[in-house]
Amino acid sequence: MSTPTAPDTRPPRLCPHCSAATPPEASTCWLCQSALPPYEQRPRFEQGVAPPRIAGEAGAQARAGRLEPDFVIWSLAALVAAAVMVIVVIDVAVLGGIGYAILTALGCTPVIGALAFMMWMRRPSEAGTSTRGESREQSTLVRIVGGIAMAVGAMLAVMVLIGLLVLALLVLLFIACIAAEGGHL
Amino acid sequence: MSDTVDSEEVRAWRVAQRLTELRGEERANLIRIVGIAGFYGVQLLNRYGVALGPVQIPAMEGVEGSFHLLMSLLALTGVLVASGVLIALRNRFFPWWIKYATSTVDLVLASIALVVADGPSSPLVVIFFPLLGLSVLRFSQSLVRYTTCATIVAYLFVALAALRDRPTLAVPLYQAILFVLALAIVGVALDHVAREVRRLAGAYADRASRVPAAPSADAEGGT
Ligand SMILES: [Zn+2]
Repeated sequence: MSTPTAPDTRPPRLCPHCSAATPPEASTCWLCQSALPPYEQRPRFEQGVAPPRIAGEAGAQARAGRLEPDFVIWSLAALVAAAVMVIVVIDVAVLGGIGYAILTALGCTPVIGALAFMMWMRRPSEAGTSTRGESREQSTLVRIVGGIAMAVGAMLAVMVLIGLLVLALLVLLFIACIAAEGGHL
Repeated sequence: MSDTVDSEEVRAWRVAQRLTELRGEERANLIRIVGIAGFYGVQLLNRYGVALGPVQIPAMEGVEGSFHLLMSLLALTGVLVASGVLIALRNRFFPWWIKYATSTVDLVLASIALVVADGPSSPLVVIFFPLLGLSVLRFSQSLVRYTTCATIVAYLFVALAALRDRPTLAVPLYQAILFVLALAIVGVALDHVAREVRRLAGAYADRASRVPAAPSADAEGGT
């Protein structure tokens, strides 16, 4: 493996204490706030302090080698949040008029966009494979669960994108309405 | 960082606590978003009514447009804050104070909604209980205590604001005392849960270390 140059393209590494993936330049773990050893001399996962025994899905993720925010819970929350935003924009359009609706939509669109982007970029399939060359074989269960999570995530992402499209159409419609009414908000 | 002087036990506990806190924050945030969606849905029904075959909910009289607009914008603010938490967690931004910040924002938004609605006489006043309940998901005693106090302060603020500006909506003193008492009791119970979890983990670790090689089927299966 060649020595990486700036920008830092080294893969994220696992915290030896809680097995959260941390950026290569970090000196403190973002999750458990333990100090991390220098990147080059990082202890191998197996030689470091054993990860804590934790139950449930957090434990499953830690054993799979990498701890990340829970993808399904995250996606569900993002989807409901985006749906509420879209409904509020429609509601504001009905009640408060076009001007307020455009302002609201302008406020919401970057947030919905950011949520959709993150949902798309950080799929579990990208987690857990590239960090450790020495990673253990993933169990069948983890692969099945990961696959389902990925499918659900992709579906949710598409739905959020449709929401965005509806939002964009609404904004266009409002602009058309303003133009037709002679430009008074 | 005091990392080097930490004993293994202290660090193990801190790591476990932070993991629980992360999972709790995620779960609380999801519940918060779904809750906002639910309450906002009820507000929409209030405003527009619904007529779906056997389900007939008439639109409430006297729900003004400006009031409904304000409620919509409050729901939007809540959802935007929750989205901020989602974005922060996804980018591994997870400081210790985020749980206090989200609890405070929840209470502030609920208080504003109540002050513009019917104050302490509004049926929405029950919202203080789920907001208090969310605090235990992080299993932090200080958060539970903080949220209990903040919830009581928020309720008193709503009650006093009604007494000052809209006396017809104010509640009698005994009703306010009952409500505060109920909040305090829930807070004490949640505080107990947050404290006992640590004791439970300690007791489990103690027992587990005394049984060196328990057969895994026995350990995993029997709950
Ligand atoms: Zn860590």
